[in-house]
Amino acid sequence: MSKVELLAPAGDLHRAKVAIDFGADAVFIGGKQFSLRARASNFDLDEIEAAIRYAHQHNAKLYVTVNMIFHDDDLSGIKEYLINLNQIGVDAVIVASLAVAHLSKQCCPNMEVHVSTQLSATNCATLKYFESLNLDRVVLARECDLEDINLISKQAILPIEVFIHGGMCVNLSGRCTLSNYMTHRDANRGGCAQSCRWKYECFDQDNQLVSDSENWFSMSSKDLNAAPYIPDLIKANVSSLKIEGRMKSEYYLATVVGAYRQLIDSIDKQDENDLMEQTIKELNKAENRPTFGGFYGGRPNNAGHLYGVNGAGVTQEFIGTILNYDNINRLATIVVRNHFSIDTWLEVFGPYKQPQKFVVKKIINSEGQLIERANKPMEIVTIELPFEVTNKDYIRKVMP
Amino acid sequence: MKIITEVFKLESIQPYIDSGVTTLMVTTPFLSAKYPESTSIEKLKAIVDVAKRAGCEVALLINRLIMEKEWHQFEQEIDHLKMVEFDYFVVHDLGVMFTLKQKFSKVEIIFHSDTTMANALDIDFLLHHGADVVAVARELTHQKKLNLVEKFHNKLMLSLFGHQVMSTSYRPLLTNYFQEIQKDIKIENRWFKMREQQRSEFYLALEDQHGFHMFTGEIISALKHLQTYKEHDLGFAYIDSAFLPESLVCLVAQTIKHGYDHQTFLKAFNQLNLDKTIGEGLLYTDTTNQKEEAL
Repeated sequence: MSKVELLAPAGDLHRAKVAIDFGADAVFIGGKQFSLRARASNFDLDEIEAAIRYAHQHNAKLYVTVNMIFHDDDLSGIKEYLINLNQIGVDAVIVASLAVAHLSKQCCPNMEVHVSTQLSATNCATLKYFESLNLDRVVLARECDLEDINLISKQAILPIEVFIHGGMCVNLSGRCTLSNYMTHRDANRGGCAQSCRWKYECFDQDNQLVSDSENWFSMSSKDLNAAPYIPDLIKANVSSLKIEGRMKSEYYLATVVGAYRQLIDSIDKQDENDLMEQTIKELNKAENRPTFGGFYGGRPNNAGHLYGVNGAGVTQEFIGTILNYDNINRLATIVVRNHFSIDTWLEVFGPYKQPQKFVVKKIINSEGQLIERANKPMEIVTIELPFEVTNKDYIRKVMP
Repeated sequence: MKIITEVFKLESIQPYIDSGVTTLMVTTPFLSAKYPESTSIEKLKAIVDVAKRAGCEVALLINRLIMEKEWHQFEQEIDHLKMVEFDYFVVHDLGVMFTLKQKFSKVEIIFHSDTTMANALDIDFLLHHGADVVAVARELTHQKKLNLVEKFHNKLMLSLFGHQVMSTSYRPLLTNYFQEIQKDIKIENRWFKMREQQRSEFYLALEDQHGFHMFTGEIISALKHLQTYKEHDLGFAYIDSAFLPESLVCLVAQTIKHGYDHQTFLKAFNQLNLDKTIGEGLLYTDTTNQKEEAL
């Protein structure tokens, strides 16, 4: 059984570094052009090159999404872009256009081409088709369950990648135009307005079925959390486990990537129930919507949906990032992200380390004054911290 | 220009052919999604028999993704139909296209994925790698569609009339919803109307064994451009018959066949007194890929 890849998203260079530091084997990013997630910060070529350098220095890979469903006028410059990506050392492009995949193979034969989930691969025949086109990897449709994945994987046609965590399209990826028709934003070119998460009044012929707007119909999906299925996915010989969310924060990435890294590395070394409990507890500290197991256990029932709720759960657990640590005086200089006070229980978590708790005993603001409460986002303060930390560690609140 | 539409009833065949339909699409509940009516394999064979005797082309429609665990059943169903002389397979799934092309090299493949064929490069690629005809993405503007027709002519299929499918989910969304609110309502193969909280227009929705599908409430019609498409030798004019009565399908087919002008069509449409409206959808409204620019 080959080592499974943990693949993480990143919206900018800093987040790419965080994902790699916390254990991602590969990171996928979007360029300024040709990519979905129009609202993600996205990278220019210099930033992509810097991300590649960092990734390769840390034995990680870097993939670039070129995954929109192109209209003719979107395609200008695509060949030059692919050549540039290849020249700066991108390991793979993730594409939703077979013509672009073919073009990439023609002009950059050494750069891998991964087929995006936008092309909805759900069966071996589709993988055989992609294999005949000399493509390198397939991201399966989210609708595949464990049975489908096992059956596909047994045939060993192409390496397969599956989603394990993050937002879920409720509709078939690449086949939904709700946003196009309702808001004139093209869902398949990065403008999705998430119209599926809105509320709809439902009528049988002309009879309103539910009058209370709190109970109106919504297609809104819970987010995916496939942690309980990771052992099965690894046994199925899946090549890559993908976390969704190029627009997610560094705190989210640190928490989620760290949790899955720990899970993957500890399978077969730790009691599975304990490990799973620990992983779920850790994943719940990230700002997810409520989560469920996706399609892995079969077609979702009502427990896979959000009715009457929208948006990610707002969390104030993320307290700050560490700039440096004074080992002699046991003082950490941090950038504040959410308010905290003296006597609050906090914990430090970092790459490849167990969280460590402490009680805040002293806070010094940027003017050198002792304060009871740090409540200005992005203010730099110094706190007493009784154990050594590094500038790759994060501080969060200990929740009851 | 061929005129293609779905048929579910034996009685509809002759009126459709008389109205100008050249190619009838048939399917089974297993092979296709999105239609409130269904056809058993036996009924399908009978329809094909009648259509063939009337000189009409027949296409087998497979308009959904086939999951790997269903593949064996898919192959069995295709085996049951192997003696039927189809002229075309209309497919939605690249794996289905790849398989049928190998098994039935003489049957032409129309690739119809609703959304993904949105540029000349991809259409050209697919025409060289498995498809004989490609259906253009429904959501493109008329001008973008016309640009493609000018390049590919009879290798393209365009949806000229019908409620446009806006989304397809593999989840039974209505079943889940009514379960959540504990309402006992018969769902499968019945259509519902939906109205978004902030909008006045209605959408149509349907759940079948393959999932949940949402459609435009208005019929989207490109019939006013009929002559232009004919001049550029468009291959197939598709009448998407979901939710349309037979009388309307016949009227549209006659309009396409005889090239009636749009005013004549609208007058005849109004005389049918249907509870339906005709709209333009995205035919003249380009979409943006930027959230900030959107409406």
